Amino acid sequence: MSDQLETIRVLVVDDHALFRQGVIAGLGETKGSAHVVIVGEADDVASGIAAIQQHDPDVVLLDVHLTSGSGGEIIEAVSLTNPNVRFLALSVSDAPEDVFGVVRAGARGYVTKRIDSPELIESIAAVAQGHAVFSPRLAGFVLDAFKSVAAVVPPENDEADAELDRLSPREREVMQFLARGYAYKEIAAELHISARTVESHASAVLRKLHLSSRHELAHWAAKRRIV
Amino acid sequence: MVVRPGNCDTDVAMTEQPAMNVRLSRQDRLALGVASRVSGRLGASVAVVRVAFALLGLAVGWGVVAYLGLAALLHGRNEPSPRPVTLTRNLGIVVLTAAQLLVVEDLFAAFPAMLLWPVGLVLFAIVLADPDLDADPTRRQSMVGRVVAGVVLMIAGLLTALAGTDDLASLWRAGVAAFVLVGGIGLVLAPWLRRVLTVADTDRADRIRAEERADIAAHLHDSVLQTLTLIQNRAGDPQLTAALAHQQERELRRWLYGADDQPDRTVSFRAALERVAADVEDQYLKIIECIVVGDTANDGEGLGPGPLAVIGAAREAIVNAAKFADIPMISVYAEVDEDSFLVFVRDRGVGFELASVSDDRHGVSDSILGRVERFGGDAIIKTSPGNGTEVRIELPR
Repeated sequence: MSDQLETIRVLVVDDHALFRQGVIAGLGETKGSAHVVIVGEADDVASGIAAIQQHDPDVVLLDVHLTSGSGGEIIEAVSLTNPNVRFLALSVSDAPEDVFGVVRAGARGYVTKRIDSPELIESIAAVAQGHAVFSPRLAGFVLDAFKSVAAVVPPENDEADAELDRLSPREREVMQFLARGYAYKEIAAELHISARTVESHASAVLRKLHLSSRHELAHWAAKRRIV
Repeated sequence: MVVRPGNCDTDVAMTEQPAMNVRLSRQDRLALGVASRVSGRLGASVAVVRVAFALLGLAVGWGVVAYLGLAALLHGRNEPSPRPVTLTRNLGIVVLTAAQLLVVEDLFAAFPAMLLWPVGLVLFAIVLADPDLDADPTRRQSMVGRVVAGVVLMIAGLLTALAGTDDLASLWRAGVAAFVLVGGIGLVLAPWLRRVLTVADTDRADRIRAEERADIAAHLHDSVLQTLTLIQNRAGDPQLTAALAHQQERELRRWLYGADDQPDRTVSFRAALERVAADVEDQYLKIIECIVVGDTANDGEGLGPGPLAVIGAAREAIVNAAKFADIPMISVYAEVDEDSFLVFVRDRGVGFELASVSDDRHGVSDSILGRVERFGGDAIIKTSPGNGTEVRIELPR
């Protein structure tokens, strides 16, 4: 049976050894929708970069907050040498500036460390296929950020730019369902569209997060903490 | 004439003991005690007011009418603490009285002076009728409006009456007749009006009491009954039972005596909802993912009763999920924007047949829907056996 499952090679970067062991043990025990193999682990920015370059994994589980720096630095450092590696941010930190930093650096998704193993495997599989993974928390951040950005974007802003700075009604709807704790499949049923379409909306939002150059969006997270 | 003893030096004591005023004005009275009450309200010496009433009563006649009218108006009311007597206010009364007397003298000689009549009347009546003028600037503004409107109306009335006749004497008679008529109607209707006002007050008090009772019932259901249920469920664990009982006692104490309730009122919506989620998480050992988009301004004024009701309803929904859904994870999502508060509480648990919830299960009907409905909000429960539950709570801002 497991031969037919896709094998995903995963690297874990987290500065808490205990947590790394917990994740690795959990992933090993759980039979999920994909077959996950741990190819290595690292505990700071430098060793993380080295391990990625050495193993070239499919997916990196990346703590957003490392003692020696942020997960975003690793993503930027390996973007040229290992362009096919996909990152899933994993964190206890719910500070929006941490989460946004890593996502904007190029991570395909963000989940909290409270996630259970079957769900984590599902998220890893989704990221491996190039899909976007939004935890409710990240969807909430996105709604909050684009809401405050929309408030400051002048309507005469030129089209191409403005497009990146706001969510379409459907994208907003999808983000809202995600924040409410719905899975893609459940959202598809609610909206009477295919799960693929839901996923493409989510990916579109992720692309806006990556590309939007608005000063306001970039600094939303930092402001958010003060407010 | 005797100046009321201690009218100015006991002013502070008056403020602290309003009950004393009534007794004082009863003791210090010559006829109906109107002069002493009026003097307290105006801040004029009682002697000056009495002389003014006497002179106006003798010379003009309406001094008597005003005296009786005020006696009816002030009857049974609690007196506000008297204003300090000042020279300017005494002078004001003297000047007004003198003006009225002069006007009467000239009444039949020079017509335009007659226009002073309505001005004096309206000013006098309104200043007397409204004891809180000094306290509230907005009321002062509305008073200015009323004075202007009243004066304009009375002048217009006089001019209309004048246009119909050349004979000032007949006009004077007509005026007196109108005055008597209005006064008569007023006297006849006064008891009825008073009763209508009293009934309205009683109704309002009843409604407030009923709402308070509903609030208390909802609160007790939220806290005490929930904890009692929890204690029964875990009766085998004495330590936990004791801890729960202790915690509940502290909470109930705080609620009853309001010792530490204030922090809840000064936080923002986001903080309040997150606190509720954390509380339930601790109490029921579930994971509650709480996402809030937008927030209320944390201006120190705290949340109004509406948002607090939303929080309370959300808490009820979260607790319900924690107790009945049989699943470790509950999702809470809230959106605060300019027009509304919106909260979703969702679990992927066992769900239930909505129709099977009877009226006596207080939780669903009153504690979620009832709370927000009272403030114009709405709550929708979407559930079916095996398909989880989602509660949607919305309240327009």
